[in-house]
Amino acid sequence: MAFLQVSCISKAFGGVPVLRGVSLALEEARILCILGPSGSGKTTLLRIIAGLERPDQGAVLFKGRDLRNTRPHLRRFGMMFQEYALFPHLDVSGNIAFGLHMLGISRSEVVRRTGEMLSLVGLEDLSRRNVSELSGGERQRVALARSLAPYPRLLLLDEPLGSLDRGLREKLLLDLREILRRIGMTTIVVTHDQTEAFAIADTIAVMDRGEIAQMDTPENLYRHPADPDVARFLGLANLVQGRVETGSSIATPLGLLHVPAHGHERGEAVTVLIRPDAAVICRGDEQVPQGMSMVEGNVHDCLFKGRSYHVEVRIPGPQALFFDLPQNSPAPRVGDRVKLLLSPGAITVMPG
Amino acid sequence: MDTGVDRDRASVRTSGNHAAILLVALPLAFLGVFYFYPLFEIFSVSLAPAGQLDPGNITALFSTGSSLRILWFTTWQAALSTVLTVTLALPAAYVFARYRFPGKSLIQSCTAIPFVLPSVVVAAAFSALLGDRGLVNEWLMGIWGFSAPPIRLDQSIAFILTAHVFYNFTVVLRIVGGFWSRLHPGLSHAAQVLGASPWQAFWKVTFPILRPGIMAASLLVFIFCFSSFGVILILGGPRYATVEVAIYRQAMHLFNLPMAAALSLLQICFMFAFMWVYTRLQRSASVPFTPESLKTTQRDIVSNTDRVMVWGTVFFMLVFLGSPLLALVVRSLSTGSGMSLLYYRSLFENAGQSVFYIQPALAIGYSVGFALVTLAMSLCIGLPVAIFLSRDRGRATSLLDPLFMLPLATSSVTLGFGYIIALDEPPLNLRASLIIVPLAHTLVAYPFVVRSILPGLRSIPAHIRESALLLGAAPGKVWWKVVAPMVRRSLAVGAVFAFTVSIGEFGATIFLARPETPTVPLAIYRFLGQPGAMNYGQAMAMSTILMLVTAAGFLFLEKLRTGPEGEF
Amino acid sequence: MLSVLLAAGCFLTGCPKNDAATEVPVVTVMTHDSFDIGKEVLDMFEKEHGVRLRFLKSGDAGAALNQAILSSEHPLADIFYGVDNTFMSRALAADIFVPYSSPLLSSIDESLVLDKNHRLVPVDYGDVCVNYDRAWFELKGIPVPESLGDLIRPEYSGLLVVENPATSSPGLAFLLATVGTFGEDGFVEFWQALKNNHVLVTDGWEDAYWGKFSAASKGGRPLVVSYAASPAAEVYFAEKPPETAPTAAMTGSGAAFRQIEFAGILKGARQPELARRVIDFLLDTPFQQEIPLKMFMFPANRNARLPEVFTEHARLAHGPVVLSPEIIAEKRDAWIRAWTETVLQ
Repeated sequence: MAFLQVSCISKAFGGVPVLRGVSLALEEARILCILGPSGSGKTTLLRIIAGLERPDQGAVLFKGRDLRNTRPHLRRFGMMFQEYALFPHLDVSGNIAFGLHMLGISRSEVVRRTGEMLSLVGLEDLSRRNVSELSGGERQRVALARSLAPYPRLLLLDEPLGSLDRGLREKLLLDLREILRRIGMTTIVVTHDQTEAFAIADTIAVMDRGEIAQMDTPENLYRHPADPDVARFLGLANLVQGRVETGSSIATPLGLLHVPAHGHERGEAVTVLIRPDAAVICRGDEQVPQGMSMVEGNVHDCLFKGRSYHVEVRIPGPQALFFDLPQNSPAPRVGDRVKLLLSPGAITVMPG
Repeated sequence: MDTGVDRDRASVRTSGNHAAILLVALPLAFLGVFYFYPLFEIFSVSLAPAGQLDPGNITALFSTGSSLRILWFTTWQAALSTVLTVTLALPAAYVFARYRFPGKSLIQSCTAIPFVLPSVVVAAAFSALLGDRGLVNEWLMGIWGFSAPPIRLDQSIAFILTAHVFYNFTVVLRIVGGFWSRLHPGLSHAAQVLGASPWQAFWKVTFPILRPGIMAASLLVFIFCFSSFGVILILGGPRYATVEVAIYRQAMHLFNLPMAAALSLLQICFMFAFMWVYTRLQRSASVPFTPESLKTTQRDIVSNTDRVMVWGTVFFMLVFLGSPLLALVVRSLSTGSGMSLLYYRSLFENAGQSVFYIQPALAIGYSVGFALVTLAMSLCIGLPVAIFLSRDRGRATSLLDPLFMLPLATSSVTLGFGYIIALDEPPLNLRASLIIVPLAHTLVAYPFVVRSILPGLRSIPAHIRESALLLGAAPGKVWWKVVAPMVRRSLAVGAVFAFTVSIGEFGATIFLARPETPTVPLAIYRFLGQPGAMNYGQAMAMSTILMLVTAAGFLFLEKLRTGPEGEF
Repeated sequence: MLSVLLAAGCFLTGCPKNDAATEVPVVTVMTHDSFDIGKEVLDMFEKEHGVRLRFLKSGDAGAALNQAILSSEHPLADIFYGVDNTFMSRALAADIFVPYSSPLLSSIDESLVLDKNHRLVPVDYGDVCVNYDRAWFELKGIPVPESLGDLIRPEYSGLLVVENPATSSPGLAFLLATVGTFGEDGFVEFWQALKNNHVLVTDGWEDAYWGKFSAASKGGRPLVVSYAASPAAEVYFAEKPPETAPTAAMTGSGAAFRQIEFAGILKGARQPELARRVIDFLLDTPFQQEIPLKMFMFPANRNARLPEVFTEHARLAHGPVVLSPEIIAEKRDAWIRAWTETVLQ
C-alpha cells in the first residue's frame, strides 16, 4: 500500500479537460517532482491532492484511505503556493504560527515550534518583520517554514522557486533539498524547470497535456525518455528520424547508427535520440571501433562553457546536432569538418 | 527597526509634508467657506442671538433626557442597520469579487438605484410590496387563508431596518467587493491547507485583511443611517425620531431654532467623537498588500457549487432589491383602464398651463448636469483628501480625517439655513446662483469618494511607491503612473457614488434649487403634493424615469472605468 | 474623466443667465412648494406692468417662512406668499413684513382678514377635515361618520389615519379643530379615545394620503385627514372624470379647521412699489380664479368665480373652527406636547 496513491484523476474546467486519468504513487519520505510545461495541469493535480479542487473522476488515497470527503483543512497536508500567499496582516512569526494555532496546541509549544522553524530556514532575526518588507528569498523561506510548522503528513510545493531570480534560485534549491532530506518529509514538488527537478527529486513524473507521459528516477528518465516529447521537454534536442535496419542498426539521414533496437520490428519508423554529452571527436583516420557509430559534419558554431564546448554541428541537409564536448580536447574551429564517435549507450531508440 | 530603509522612509515623509499641505489647501478652503462658515453663522444666530452665548439652550438639551433618548435611538438603529447591511451584503460582495458571470456589471450598477430614489417613493414601493395590503400579504392571505395580514411591518422598527439595508446594500457591495477582488484567493486556500476550516479561514485571514474596506463601508452606512430622515419619517411613523428628524421638527414646525441648533451641535460633536475613534481603529487596521489583477482573483462559474453560490446571490438580490423597484414600474404602467403608457404620455403635457410645469427632459437635464458637476467637484476635493489621509501623518490625520467626514453627518436643514444667512453678500452671494446646488451636493458626495479610494490607497505597500521613486520618477508621476492605475477601480466606485448621491439628493435641493432649474426628485414631489390618480401615476412614471436615467448614468461611468487601457 | 469635466463645464457655462439678460425689473416672490400659477395670467400681469415675476420655492410652508425670517437682513425676495394662520403670529413677531392696505381688500371676505395692520393679507383658504372613501363605506354598508365625536365609535375602529401635528400642517390644523370643538380641557380625552379606537398616525400628508388611504392607493384605511377640496382634485386629476368623486369630505359643524394663507411685502424689498402691484395682482380676480385648480384652495376674493369641478365636488365646512393666531402661537407647543404624550407614548 503506497503512502499516497492518486488513481485515474480527471478534471475539466468549463468543458476543457485539464487532467485525463492521472495515476501515480509515492512512498513515505520520498520526493516526487511533477515536471511539465505551463498548462500541462500539474498545478491542478497538486490542488486536487490538497483538496482545494474536486476531481471529476478518480480518487486520492492516503495510506489507503479515500480522501474524497476529507476537507482540505482536515487533510493535514502542507502546501506552499506559487506566490507564497503570505498573510499580509501577520508578521513572520504570525505566519509561521498560523497552522500551529489551528492545531490547538499550547501557546508555549507554538512559540517553541515557531522558533524551531525560524532557525530551520535561517530567519531567526526576522521574526517580527512585516511580510511586505521581506525580499523574495526571505518570503520563500517564510512560506516553507509556515507549511512545515504544523507537522504536515505530506508537503506540496507549487513552483517553490518560480518567482525568484536565477542566482537566488540555485542557492535556495540546494537549501530546500537539504531541509527536505534532513527532516525526511514526503514531498511533491511541481515545477517547469528540469534542472530544479533533477536536483531535488527521487522520482520525476513528466506531465504533458493532462497526462503523465513518464514517471521514473531522474537518471532513467534522462537516459531513456519514453517519447520524443519527453526528450524535448528534458532539453534533449538531438532527435533524428530513422528506420530499423537490423536488430542492432538503424538507418538515418546521418548514416547507419549502431544501437540495439530491442522491441522494434525491422523496417519500423523510429526516432533516435543522441545525447549531447556522448560524443567524442575522432582524429584523423582512426578506425571506427566495433559497435560504435560515426557521424560527419561541419562545425557551425562553438561556445566555450568552462567545463565543455557547446558545439553545433551541421550534417548535410537541414539537420543540426548539438554536442557538449569535453574541454580537454582541442577546441573545434568554426568551419572545420569533424567526425564524431558515438557509443551505443549515448543513443536511445524511441517509437515514432 | 532602525534600518537604513526606515530612515529613508522617514525623510521621504518629512519632505512630503509641504506638498501635503498644498494638497489639502483646496479641500480645506472649500470646507471653510461652504461648510464651517455657514455653520458658524447659523449657530451664532441661533445660540447667541445677542452676541453672547445663551447657555440655556444647551442645558435645555439635557434637562429632560429626551434628547439623550433620541440620540440613543439614533445610534442603535444606525448600528443595527449597519450590522445587518454588512452581514447581508458580504456574501454578495464575495460573489462579485470572485466570479465572472454574464450581466455582472449591469446587476452591480443597478444595485445603486435604490440610493437615488426619494424616500417617499421607496416607501410607496415597500408598502406596495410588504405593507398590510401589499402584494406579499395578499398573496399569503390568498394561499394560506390568513384572515389578517401575516406580515405587519407598517410603522415598525423592522420596516426601518429593511429599508436601510435596501438603501445601503450597494455601499457595502461596491466598496468591500472592490477591495475583495484585489485579494489573492490563495490566501484563503493557504489558510485552509494550514488547517483552518473555511469559516476560520474567513475570520482569521480574509476578514482581517478586508477590515479596512469593511470599516470604510460600515462608516458610510452608519453615518447614512444615523442621519436618516425620510425613511424614519415615513416608514417608521411618528413614534420614531432620529436626531436629524428632531432637528427638522424643531426648526420647521416648532420654530425653535435655538433647540434645533443645539441638537445639530450635539449631532456634530457626537459624530466627530465617533469618527475620531473610528479613524484610530482604521489606521491600526490597515494592512499593506499588493493588489492582484482581476485575472488571477476572478474565475468563471465552473462547478455546481459555484452555480448555486452565484445564481443564489443574484436571485436574492433580484428579489430583495429588485422586487420593490419592479413594483414601482408596474404601478407606473397600471392605469384605471389596464396597462398603458398614459402616465408617461401625460408627463409631457402641461395640462393646467402651469408656470411651474416641469418638462421631463429638462428635469433630467438638470439632474444629470448637477450630478456631473458634483462628480467633477467631488473628485477634485475627494482625491487630494484621500491622498493626504492615505499616509499616516500623526495628529494631522487623526484630526482631519473625522473633520473631512463631518459634512456627511450634518443635518441638511441646519446647513441649508446656514447657507441662507451666510452666503448672502458679494462675493459669496450664491443664494440665487445655479452653482449652489452642486456645491451642496458635493459636501455630501465627496466623503464617498474619499472612503472609496482610501482603503485601496492605504493598502499599497510603501515599497512599491518607493521603488518607483528610486527609479527616478517624480512624486507626481509616481502617482499617475503607479498609484492611480491601482486605485482606478475604487476611484470609479467613488465617482459612481458621487453621481448617485447628487441625482437622489433632496433635503438640500428643495431649499436651494429654483423652479427654473428643477431636478427629477423635485418633480416627483410636485406630483405627490396633490390628490388624484393622475398625480400618483405621474409620480411613479417619473420615478421609473429616474431609475432609468440613473442606470444609464452608471453604464456610462462603467464604460469610462474599463476605458481603452482595459481594466486594471 | 475628461469628457465628464467637459460636460460639466458646458453645463454650467451654457446655462441661461436669467437676470442679466433682461433690463425688465424683477420682483421676487418667495413661496412654498405647493404654490402654482398659470402662464396666461402671469403673462398678462407681466406685460401690463412691464415687470418680471421670479418665484423662489423654498420647501414646505414652515421651511419657507423660516428662510424668510433668517434672511431678513438681506432679503431673498420682495414678497412672501404662504404664511398660514397657524404660523401668522410667529411671522408678525419676527417683524419681517411692511403694511400695505391694498384697495382690493374691499372685495376680500372680512372674516379672513386677521391682521388689522394689513402686513399680511389673506389670499386663499381651505378647510382641513376628514375625507372618506365612498366605495369602501358603500361596500361595507356602514354609515359614514358625520362629526368628530363619531370617530371614536367602535364601528370606526382602525379606520382613521391622521398626520402628526408636530410635523404636518394639516395634522396641526386637525388638532386645532379638535381643540376648538372639545375645548382645551376636552381634546386630550378625545384623542385618548381615538387612540383606543386604533387611530394611525403618519408624519406627513403624502404618506397618510398615498400610503394609507384606501381610496388613493393600496392603503387599508378609508378615513384620512385632508382638505375639503381634495375630492375635487380626485375628480380633476382622474384619468376619466367620474360623475361623482371617489372620496368626500366630512364638513359638518366643528369637524374642520379653516386654514388661511396670507401674503405680504418683505422689509427691505428692492422693488417696494412693484411689490404692491403684485399684492394687488394676488388679490385680484384673474389670479384668484386660478387658485382652485392650481392649489385646490378657495379664493379669498368674493368676486372670484369657482370652476365647475369645484362647485360640484368641493365643499366648504359649515361652521369651521376658528382660533385666533395669538392663541395658537401661545398654546401650540403645549397642545402638541399634550397630543404627543397622549397619542404617541
